[in-house]
Amino acid sequence: MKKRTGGEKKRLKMNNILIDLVYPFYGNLPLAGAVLLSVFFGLSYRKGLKILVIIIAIIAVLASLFLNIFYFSETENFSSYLFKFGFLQTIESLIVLFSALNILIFLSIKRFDDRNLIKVIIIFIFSLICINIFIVSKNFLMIFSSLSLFLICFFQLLSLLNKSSSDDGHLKYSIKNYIIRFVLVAVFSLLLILVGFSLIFGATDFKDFTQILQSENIDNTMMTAGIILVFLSIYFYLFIFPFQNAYLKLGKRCEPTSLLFIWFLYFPSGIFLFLKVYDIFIHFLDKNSQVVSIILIAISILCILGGNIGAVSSKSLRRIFLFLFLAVIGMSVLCLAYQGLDLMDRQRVVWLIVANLLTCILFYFPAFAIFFDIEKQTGSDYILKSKGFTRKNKFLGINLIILMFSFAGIIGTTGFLTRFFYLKPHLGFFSGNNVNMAEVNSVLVLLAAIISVIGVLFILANIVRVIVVLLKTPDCDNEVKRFPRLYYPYILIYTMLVLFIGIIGSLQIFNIDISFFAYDIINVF
Amino acid sequence: MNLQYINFFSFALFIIGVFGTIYCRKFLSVIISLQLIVISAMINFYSFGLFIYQSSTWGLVFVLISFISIYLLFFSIVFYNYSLQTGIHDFDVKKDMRIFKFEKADWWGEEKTEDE
Repeated sequence: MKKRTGGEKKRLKMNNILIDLVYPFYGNLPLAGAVLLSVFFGLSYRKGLKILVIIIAIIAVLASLFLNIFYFSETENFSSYLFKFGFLQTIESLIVLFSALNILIFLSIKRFDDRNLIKVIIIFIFSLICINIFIVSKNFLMIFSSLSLFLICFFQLLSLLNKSSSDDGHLKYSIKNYIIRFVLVAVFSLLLILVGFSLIFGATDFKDFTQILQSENIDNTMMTAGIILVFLSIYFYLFIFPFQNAYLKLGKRCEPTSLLFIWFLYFPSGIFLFLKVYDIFIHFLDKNSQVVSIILIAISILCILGGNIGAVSSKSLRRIFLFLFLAVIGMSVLCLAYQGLDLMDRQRVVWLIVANLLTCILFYFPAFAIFFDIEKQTGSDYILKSKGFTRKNKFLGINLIILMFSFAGIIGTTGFLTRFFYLKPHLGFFSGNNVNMAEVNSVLVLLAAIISVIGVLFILANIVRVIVVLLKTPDCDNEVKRFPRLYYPYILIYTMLVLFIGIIGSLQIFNIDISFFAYDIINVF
Repeated sequence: MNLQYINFFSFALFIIGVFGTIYCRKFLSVIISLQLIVISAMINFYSFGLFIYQSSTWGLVFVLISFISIYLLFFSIVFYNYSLQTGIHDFDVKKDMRIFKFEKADWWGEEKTEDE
């Protein structure tokens, strides 16, 4: 064997140091490479270059997905002064990258003729890099700067995508107006985080949330004020009821692919921010469980009822989807109240929050593909424009109905897993198992039980309403032409995925032994 | 200089900023109110760093980086609103940039868009 010289050893050592320095950003390297390659074509409108940039972006996202999983399985947890990379961060990063892959597919199908496509893809990859850094950030400095850089990229994306969506001056004005209003709400919440961080810094000189938990000064008044400001900012950031106006207005008017960026880049970043402060939230919950539970139940009632009633009273498919997304966020908020009432443990709540997001992803992407194509062809998002769709296109129609069943929580689908664990604590409570009756406030538990059942049934009713429209006899004037060929395998893959996860999960819930699948998907955290 | 007075001043700026952001309709008023919140946070960081932690380097670095990133965001929003590239710069006269609005259509029924 050839002996290494001193110079070679030194170089190898340097390489190892460099590799260690880059960790946990291996996933960002292919994305950065993709930006570097694509940036040379940023001003081009040529079709060949557009295809090249799309291929580069898809390969980069796939490589990033692989590297995140591979290096987490190789090195597991990592923690430094600025960053923390563990199992939860890996899952968050995978959710974002999976959504990114879908968004890229939609961009390449729906916006291929757009002159700004290459610019959109470059900024999109930039925003992915920012959100990946945000996910692994631990220190206030990194959390704040990565989130604000992400918001800049997100704002650029919104403005670029909506640049020429309408020729009507007034509609153009209102889209611009609502984009600015939407981003101003996000900026307002970002600034509340900034003030919150300044108060936490003033109270104890702490620079990250884990230090706060280990401190004796956690109940300091200034610290409490800072943390409350951070929670308030998350509330505004997620457009939770009654502050949903800017989100609904923009969602109704904007160019359709912008909605994907709002649902699967913007909202997840808010949810991940909450998961960063979740341990501190638990501390407050343990200290003032009744007060915090009452507040959380009130918020979830607003979200679940507001979201579902808004969806049921609306005839616009866009508004139905926009409202239902808020209703699902309300269900996640109710899970937090469950923890305050000792109905659920920490792991299950985190699992439910992530699973709710995944259920939305597995329904919204394929549904978006079909409904927004119908909107594009018919010129309206009116629900009756999809009347009889299942009869006209049986393959897509049946797949869509299965996916809708999943979102509604029918057994054997992915949605059933979330709905089951969402309702399970009440079954345990009312049958006298798991929970000590003397320790919990039974009125609050009853209220939580009622609102959770209403939430599940209401979402089911909303979905059944859409399914009924799809199954009706079609009108002659609702002529929907052909869909892109790629949609057929795309939607079939989603249906298979939803059924596979749903069946495996259901079997695991009912303790039926399945030797061919060893991974316990219902107890991930 | 007393830290308590500085904190009162910073808190007053923060309250004015929040009130202005929620209440004002004009775009520039909202932006200025948001800047008051930024200034309030900066005063907090500087004063705590100077009085309690003897010129903490971390506080200064945080102020610098957050200042740059937040003002990049402000710049992009203001540029977007007034840029000729959007082709609709002369429409900025409606004065309806109130960021939180409460309308019946956000809870019930349909909302009519401009083209309907």
